[in-house]
Amino acid sequence: MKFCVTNHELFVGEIHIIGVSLSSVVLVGDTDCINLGSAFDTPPESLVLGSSLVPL
Amino acid sequence: MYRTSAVDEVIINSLTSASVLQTGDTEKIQCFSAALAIQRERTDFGRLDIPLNKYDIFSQPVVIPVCPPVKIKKTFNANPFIRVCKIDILGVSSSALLHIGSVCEMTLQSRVKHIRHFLKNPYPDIEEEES
Repeated sequence: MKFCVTNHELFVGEIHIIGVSLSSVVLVGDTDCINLGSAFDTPPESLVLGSSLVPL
Repeated sequence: MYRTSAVDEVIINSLTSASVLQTGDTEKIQCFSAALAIQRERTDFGRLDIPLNKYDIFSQPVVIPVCPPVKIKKTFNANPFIRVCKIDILGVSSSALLHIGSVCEMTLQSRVKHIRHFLKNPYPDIEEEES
C-alpha cells in the first residue's frame, strides 16, 4: 500500500472536553498506529443478591 | 517526519486511575486497566478481596482491528506545527491518555465489570415473571 500525505496548516482555537475515560485518547500530534480495545460488562446477571459477592 | 505540537494552555481538573498526561514525543505506549465497579446497597468500608479471574470478562480476548502494513509512506509537512490555543478537560480516568506530541504506536485496553449488589431483591415482580 502506498500512502502519501501533505500536511498544511492546522490551527485549533479551543478544545473543551468533559471526560476522557476507559482507554480513550486525546492526541495533539501525529501517529502511525493506534489500537484501542474496551470490554464493558453490565448484563442483567450483574445483579447480585445476598451476602456473598464472589461467583462460585 | 512528525510535526511539532504547540499548545498554549492546558487545564485539567482531575487525572485519576492510571491515566497519563504526556507532553513530548513517544515511541510506544501500552496501557491496561481492569476495574470492578461495585454498587452496593450497604456500605462496607475496608478490604474487598475478590479475585478478578472469577469473571470471564477479564480473561476473554478483546478483538482489535490490525493496522494494515504500509510499505511506502511519504509525508510532506508544509507547516511543521500543530497549534492549539487552549485545552480544557474536566476529567481523565481509567488508563485514558492526553498526549501532546507525536506517537509511533499505541495500544490501550480496558475491562470493566459492573456489579449491583443488593441484600434483598429490589424487583420481586420481575423475579416471579421469570420463574
